[in-house]
Amino acid sequence: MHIAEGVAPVPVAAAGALVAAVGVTIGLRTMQDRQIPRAALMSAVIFLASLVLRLPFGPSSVHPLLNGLAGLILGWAAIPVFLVTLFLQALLFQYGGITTLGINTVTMGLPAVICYYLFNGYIRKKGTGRGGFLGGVAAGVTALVISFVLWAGALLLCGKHLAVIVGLALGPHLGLVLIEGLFTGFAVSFLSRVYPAIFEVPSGREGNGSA
Amino acid sequence: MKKISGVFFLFLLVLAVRVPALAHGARCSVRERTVGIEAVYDDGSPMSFCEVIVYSPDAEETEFMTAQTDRQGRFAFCPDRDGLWRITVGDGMGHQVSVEIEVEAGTARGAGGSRDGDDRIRGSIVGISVIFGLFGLCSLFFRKRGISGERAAGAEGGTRCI
Repeated sequence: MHIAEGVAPVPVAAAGALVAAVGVTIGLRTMQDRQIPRAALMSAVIFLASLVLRLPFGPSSVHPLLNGLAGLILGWAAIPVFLVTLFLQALLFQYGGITTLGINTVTMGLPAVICYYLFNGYIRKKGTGRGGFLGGVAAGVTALVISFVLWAGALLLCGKHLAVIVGLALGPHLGLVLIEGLFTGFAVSFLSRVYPAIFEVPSGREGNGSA
Repeated sequence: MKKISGVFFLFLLVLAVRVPALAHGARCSVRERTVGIEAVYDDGSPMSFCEVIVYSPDAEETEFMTAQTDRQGRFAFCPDRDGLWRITVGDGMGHQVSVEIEVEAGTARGAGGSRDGDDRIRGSIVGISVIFGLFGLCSLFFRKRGISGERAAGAEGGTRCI
């Protein structure tokens, strides 16, 4: 679910870059040193998942986004993580593009931050068991749905027709929602059991407290 | 009455005579010198029914034609002049590949766009290395800058990136 190189007109690409720059700045300002290994690991997981986990739904090829999980673990720091990951994907594999990097970063990173605000507290409270799993499922599904809406909106601004976008991508992503939700649910459930501190994310500009 | 029957008979006779069509006909011939491509994803699965855009040597930014790949991710066309043609195949979801084809006296020669499994593995290794290298540098920079911040925040606190 990227926007390819050359698809976005200059004003749309510039607006995307501007919003992404604001998000990256906030992400870097709230990021703490103890979060850096998590950010690197999450970036590597997202990068590899897009290459290895290809799901053949219909004629298209889709892959897990994992932005719900990234948001739960990293909060605002998920935006710089997606910037790095998407840059490497565009550079090495022509997924997305350099000129559309800002739009793609916003499309993937903003839902991660929304999921952090919606579900991080709930998951930390519920911890292990069914509550954590359901919170993870909800985060995975919500992040994917918001990403899809943002991506479709960006393509509409790029001059594509809604019917074409929906006809092309809705079917594959309905299948992906299920897999993304279950994967995030199991991952959250597992991490809550073995390393619950991973969901402690610093919030606010002072950056030395937990959410 | 006899006159009308005669005209009607003549009309039927005209309809019965087989004559070749003189206009709005169509015919086709088989062209041997075509340029064909096959677009696949990195994992080898075909880019089926994806949008194809062809750019001619004369106008590199203006689309010469648009089309669609078939189920196997294949597409072919007949270039009408020699030079460097560029073909872009995209699935509309951000996965795109471009190939440049040099056409000389009707013969095509590909130049780029192909990527095999080894390239994919190499790219993955490079990507992972860059990610950990970048965040490692970030951590180093962070710790150097954050010594005073850490003292102020205490051992539990940690430091900010910017």
